[in-house]
Amino acid sequence: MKNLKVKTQNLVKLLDALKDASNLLAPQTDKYGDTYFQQVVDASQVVLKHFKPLMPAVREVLFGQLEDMITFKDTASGTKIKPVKAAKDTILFGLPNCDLDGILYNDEFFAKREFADFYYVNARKKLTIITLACLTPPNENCFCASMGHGPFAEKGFDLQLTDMGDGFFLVNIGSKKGQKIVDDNSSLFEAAGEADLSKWKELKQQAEESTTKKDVNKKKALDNMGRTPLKEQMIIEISDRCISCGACNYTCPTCTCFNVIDHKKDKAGTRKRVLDSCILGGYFRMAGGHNPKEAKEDRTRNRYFCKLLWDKEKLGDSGCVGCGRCLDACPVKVDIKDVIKQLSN
Amino acid sequence: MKKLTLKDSEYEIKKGKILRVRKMTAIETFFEIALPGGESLDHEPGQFVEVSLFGVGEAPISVTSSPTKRGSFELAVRNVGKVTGALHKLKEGDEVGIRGPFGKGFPVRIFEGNDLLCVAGGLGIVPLRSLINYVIDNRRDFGKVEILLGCKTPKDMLFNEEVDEWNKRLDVKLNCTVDKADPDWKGNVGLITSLIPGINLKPERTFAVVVGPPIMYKFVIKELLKKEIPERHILVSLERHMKCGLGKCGHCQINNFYCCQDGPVFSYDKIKNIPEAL
Repeated sequence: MKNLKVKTQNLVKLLDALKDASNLLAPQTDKYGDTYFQQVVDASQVVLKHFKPLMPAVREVLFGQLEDMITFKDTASGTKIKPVKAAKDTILFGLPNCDLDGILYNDEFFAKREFADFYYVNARKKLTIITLACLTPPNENCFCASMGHGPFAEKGFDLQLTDMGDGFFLVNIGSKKGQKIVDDNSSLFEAAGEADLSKWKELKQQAEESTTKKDVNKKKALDNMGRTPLKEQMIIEISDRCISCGACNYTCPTCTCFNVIDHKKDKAGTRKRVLDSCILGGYFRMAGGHNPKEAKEDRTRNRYFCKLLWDKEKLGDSGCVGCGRCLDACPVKVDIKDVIKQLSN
Repeated sequence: MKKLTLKDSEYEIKKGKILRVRKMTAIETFFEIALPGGESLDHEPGQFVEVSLFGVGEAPISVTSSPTKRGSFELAVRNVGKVTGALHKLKEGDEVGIRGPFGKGFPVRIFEGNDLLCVAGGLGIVPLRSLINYVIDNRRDFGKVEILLGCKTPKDMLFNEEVDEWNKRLDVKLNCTVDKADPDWKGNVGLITSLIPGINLKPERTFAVVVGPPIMYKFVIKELLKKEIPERHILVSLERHMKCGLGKCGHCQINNFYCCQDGPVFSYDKIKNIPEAL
C-alpha cells in the first residue's frame, strides 16, 4: 500500500475535479441539518468529517431501496421489453468502513456466486469508493472493531482518507482505480513521511480501541449461535418486544432481500425491485394464504440466524459488520450487540 | 467481475406463446406454451418457471410436462393470487413472459434402476406428472412404479384421462383415493396415508416422491418411515414464495436453504430438523 497525503483545501479541489468527471456522491448537510449522500454540485459543501449515514451507502448506488428493472409497453405486435438504462460512472466519497464492508458482503452475495445479479454487477463495475476512516465512533451503537470490520479499512477501497488533524488527510491507495485518481490529479498530493505514517498507525489503534466492546467475542458468539440453547430464549424475548416494522432490515448494510413489483399505466409500465424485510408479517406468505413463518418469533429467528449463522455458512462470514444501525433505527431498542454479547460467554 | 447483459443474465424474460388453454376444474386451468422459434425449455422433471404478466407481476409455476415432450411445455395453474388470477383470463395465442427453468428437480439419474413410489395430494400431481411421464417415456431405466393419488372429491381430480391411461398400463400400479366420494366414485375413500400400509415394497431400493399440500407431508412421511424407506430416499417438493428464482430475493428461505435454488425438491434427511420446512 503506497501512502500519500493531501491538504484539506486540495481535497476540496480534488472533489471539484471529480464531480466534473463523474457522478460524485458525498455527505452533505441539508438546510434542516440532516447529513446524507447527495450529488455534489459545490465541492466546498462536502462534509469532511467521518460520519455514519442512517441509510447504508450500498443503498445509494448498488442495491437501492427502489430500482427499475425493466420497462415494458404493449404494442400491436406484443409487449416490448427494455432493460433500464446502464448505470453511470459514480464515485462514492466519505463512506465509513462499515459501509465498505457492507458493499464487499453484497459483492459476495450478488456478484461472486452462481447467477450473478445483472443490475448489481453492472452498477458495481462503474463504482469508485473513497472511504473516510472513523477516528472515533460516530455514535454509541458502533462496535465494528469487535466484529472485525474497522473502523479503518484494510481492503476493498479505491482510496481511503484519514483526517490527521493537522490540515492534512493521509491517503491510502487500494486499487488501480484509486491510483488513477491520484495520477490524474498528482499536483494535489504530496508524499507522506515516516512521521505521518506512525501518527496514522497511532490514530488507527486509538480508533480500534474506541470501537471495540470488551464483552463481545465474535468467534465465540458465532460458534455459540450454532449450538447453544440460550439463543431460543433470546429469540423469544426479542420477538416479544419487536413491533415488526422492518427498520432493522432496511438500514442493515448486508440485508439483501427484495420484492418485485409492476407499475403499469395505460399501455406502458415498469418492473421495479424494492427492498424487503423478513420481519414483516407477509414476507413469507404465498398466494393462497399459506405462511410458513406466520409467527413473529419464526421471523425473528430468521433474521438473527440469517445474520449470525447462515451467512457464515453460505458466504464465509457473518453479515453483521457491527455498524449498529439496526439499533439506531429500532423503535423498541432491540440491540444486536446485546445478543452477540450474551452469546460471547 | 465481468460485465453482464440482460440477455446473458437469468433476468432475461422470454416471450412464451400460449398454444392451448383447457379448463381443468372450477379453479385450475391447463396451458400449453411454446418459446420463440420452437426453442426447448430444457427443464428437468420437478423444476419451475417464473411466469410474467407485464403490469401484474411474476409467479413461480411448476412445469407439469415431461422434458421428453419437445417443442412446447405445459403448466397447470390454480387461480389463487394476483398473477394466477390474471393468467386465467388469457386465451390461446396470448403472450406470457417466461424465465427459467429454475431449481433442483427430481434426481432422475439417482432413481434409475430403482423402484419409485409417487405420492401426490391435490395439486401435487402437477409437478409429479413431469416425473411420471418422464419415467413412462424411459420405462426401461426404472424398476417398479407405483402411484398414489389423493384429492378432496372426485370433482377435484386433475388429468383424469391421463391418469386412466397410466392405470391401463401393466408396468405402472395406480391407486386413487378421495376424502369425500360422490355416487359415481369407484375408488378408495379416505386420506392418502391409508393407502401406504398396504404397499409391498423393498425399502432399500425404493425412492418415495411426495408432493402435496403442506399438511400432508408429515403424515405421509411418517407412514413411509414405518415402511423403513431410508430418509434420503424420501423426496419432497416444497412450495415457497420464490419471487426471483435465483437465490437472491430471500422470500423462499427455509433456514439456510433458498428453496428456489437448493430446492424445490429436497430429500427428507436434509430438512427433517427444520421445524418450519414441512
